[in-house]
Amino acid sequence: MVGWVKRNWPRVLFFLSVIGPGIIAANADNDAGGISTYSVVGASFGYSMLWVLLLITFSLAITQEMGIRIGLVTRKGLASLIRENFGVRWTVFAMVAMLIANLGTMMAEFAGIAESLEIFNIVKYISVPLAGFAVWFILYKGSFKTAQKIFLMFSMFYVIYIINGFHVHPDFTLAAKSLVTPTIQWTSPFLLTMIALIGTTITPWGQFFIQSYVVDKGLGLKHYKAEKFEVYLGAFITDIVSFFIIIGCAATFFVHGIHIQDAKDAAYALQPLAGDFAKVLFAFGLFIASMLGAFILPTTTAYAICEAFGWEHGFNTKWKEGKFFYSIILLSLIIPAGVVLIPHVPLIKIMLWSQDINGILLPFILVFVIKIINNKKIMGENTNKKFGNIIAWLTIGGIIAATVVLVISSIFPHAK
Amino acid sequence: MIHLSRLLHAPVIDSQYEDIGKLADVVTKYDLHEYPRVEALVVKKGKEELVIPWEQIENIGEKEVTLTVTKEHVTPYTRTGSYLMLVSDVLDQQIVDMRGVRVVRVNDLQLGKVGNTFAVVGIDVSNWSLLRRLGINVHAIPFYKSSSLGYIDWKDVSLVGRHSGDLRIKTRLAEIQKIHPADIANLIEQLNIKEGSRVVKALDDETAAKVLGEVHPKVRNLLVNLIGEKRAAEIIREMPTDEIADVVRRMPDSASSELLTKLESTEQTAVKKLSGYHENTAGSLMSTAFVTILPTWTIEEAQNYIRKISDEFGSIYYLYVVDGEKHLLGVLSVRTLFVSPSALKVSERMTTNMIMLRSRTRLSEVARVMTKYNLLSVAVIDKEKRIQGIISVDDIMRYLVPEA
Repeated sequence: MVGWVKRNWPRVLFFLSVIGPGIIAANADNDAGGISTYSVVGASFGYSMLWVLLLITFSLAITQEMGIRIGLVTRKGLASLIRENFGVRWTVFAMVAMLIANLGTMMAEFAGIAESLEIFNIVKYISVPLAGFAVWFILYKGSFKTAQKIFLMFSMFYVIYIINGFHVHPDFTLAAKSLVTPTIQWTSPFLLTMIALIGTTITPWGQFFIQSYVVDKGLGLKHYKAEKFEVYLGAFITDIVSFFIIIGCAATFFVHGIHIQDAKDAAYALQPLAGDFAKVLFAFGLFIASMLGAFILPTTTAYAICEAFGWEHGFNTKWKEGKFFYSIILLSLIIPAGVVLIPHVPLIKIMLWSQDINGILLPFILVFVIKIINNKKIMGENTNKKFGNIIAWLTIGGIIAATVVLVISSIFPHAK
Repeated sequence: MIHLSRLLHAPVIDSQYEDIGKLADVVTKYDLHEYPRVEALVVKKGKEELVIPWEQIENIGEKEVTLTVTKEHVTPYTRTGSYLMLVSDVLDQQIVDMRGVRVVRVNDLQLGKVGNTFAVVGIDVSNWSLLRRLGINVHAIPFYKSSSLGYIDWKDVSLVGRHSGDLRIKTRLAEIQKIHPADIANLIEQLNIKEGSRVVKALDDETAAKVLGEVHPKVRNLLVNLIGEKRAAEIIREMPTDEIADVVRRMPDSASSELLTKLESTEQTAVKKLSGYHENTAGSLMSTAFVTILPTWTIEEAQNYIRKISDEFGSIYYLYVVDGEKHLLGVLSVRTLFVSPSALKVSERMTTNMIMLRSRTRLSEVARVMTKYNLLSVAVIDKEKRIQGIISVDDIMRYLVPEA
């Protein structure tokens, strides 16, 4: 081991210097909506949906890889490229789609903050405004670099779920078998949850975020191999976390026939089954996950929109010049927080609804990505290979099919 | 004057009233000092593309474009030399507004008659033009004001993005050279790194050196990477030693050692020594370009000396009086030098109770001392009181207000 490290030290250093985008972007997918969804997946359907998780791990890896490749070649954000190659109308379309998806996701993040802190007896009327203010303060006063360090630090907390996953002694043999055995129940709860699972893992904002990240980091094509590896690693780590949340809930709730609706239920229900420790861990993890999303989303939204329309952006612009930038960030904090603060608003529905919106809008953004990555004028010799295109289109096709099923099942909620 | 967005997608009708397609792009002749004049129109019907020379266009308007000939008699135009495609090269791209010194996105282009040609006269960067592009009639909006705010004359812009024609980077960016280096640095930080490196490449070495001295260290490292080692070394050679040291200190070791070999050996040693100081200490910020004189000189001799060497220094606030071993004995301000009788000795006029700092003094302390004693520059000495360098007020300002 020591010998290997010594021999490969320059390579290790090189990898460490580029690390960040892939891991952070992938981990941020496990946000409030994500953790709620995984909990429900495990509690309601046991191990039977794990095969979907395996498939979307590949889709996540491939869509994120396309994002970094475009970023490394063009050194421009996705929003810029959409504007420069598809004109104003398509740009407005893409930005509106992203904005809606992101506002929805932000609601889910605030809902997650509210729910997780309610476990510690802090009411949402205190926790949500405080969290919103904290996010704004750190973004405004700190730098991108500080924020990045916070993100990476936050990602570490996901280890909690893996620990918890072991703690409750799941059936690992059955879990492994379920990963490769596709089973489907033609009931709307199953399909709905399945779509939420896809929608929470691969997201529109994820595409914008990862591309801007490699551009901001100033990475170029020589970093491609390392970045690709990191993206794949990120997708793997993320879904390992998802895997453990799912089997953790499967081993406790599903086997005992306890029905839960979201992550807060999960945290509470864990108490008698696995003790106080598990409850606190679960709640704390949910809080961290929600905060991580709440940091990334407003910034990603504002950067993308300002980039597309040529408005000044970045935290070192003055208020007058960056009025659109700051307004977008503030609005994407205030509006979702406001909705979550409405008394008796169903937080659970908000979380699920936001995952569905993400799922529905994702194919549109992915089509832009595929069109850009196959354009020789933009990508030169780094366009997609046939294999990559097939997987990418299959992902899009799969999501569209799933979305169609979702829409149908939401119109006919009792159809079997 | 007419907006490009209004002309696009207009049906193109030949002399026999046959619809031959829609206007898709406009080919213009690019010349640095002229408004780009329209040379041909690109007409598309399905996948078919026809480029019609301007001479065969009868009339151009938002309702339709008419030709003087039938489709069969169109003499297809071939694009050569410095041409610019208005839709694919300019519209929606980022450009540099040289008067406002900022990077903007082109929301629309204005075309108009220039002499007896039809040419691009300016670009529109207003948000109203975004609405117009969406097909919204902005004049119908109650609070719409037509203002010249979002309008930039073509002669005040510089292209930085990709382009289909054979435009030499130098010709497109030569104008940027007129802007103050600090402003060029800001522009580069706003552009993406590829475009930024194109701007640096187009500058002469001296300007490029000043610009590199001003850009954020992170951006600078990326730029040095992208413009290539050879050119980077040529540019860096033009920088003062302390700035080279700063560049080197903030670079990854592998890249900086390569750069160092490209410098002259005396400078190499100086840079190596300077770059060894820790960040945020006086040593890291100090300049080795300062004027030393001997105490035995007369005021007149000192004055003549300044006249002779003045060109080599960016600014001179104080003259440092040293002995043969560079031990600092006193300082003489330029003002004292100017008002003192020329026959007096330097040693009779110099201040001996001057403020001195050590190279490891923290920059916050340097700033405090300079503010307290109202110093324009301060000497940095070693433990034997030998002068190592000076820190001037502009260096410390850069430390205090890094984002400017």
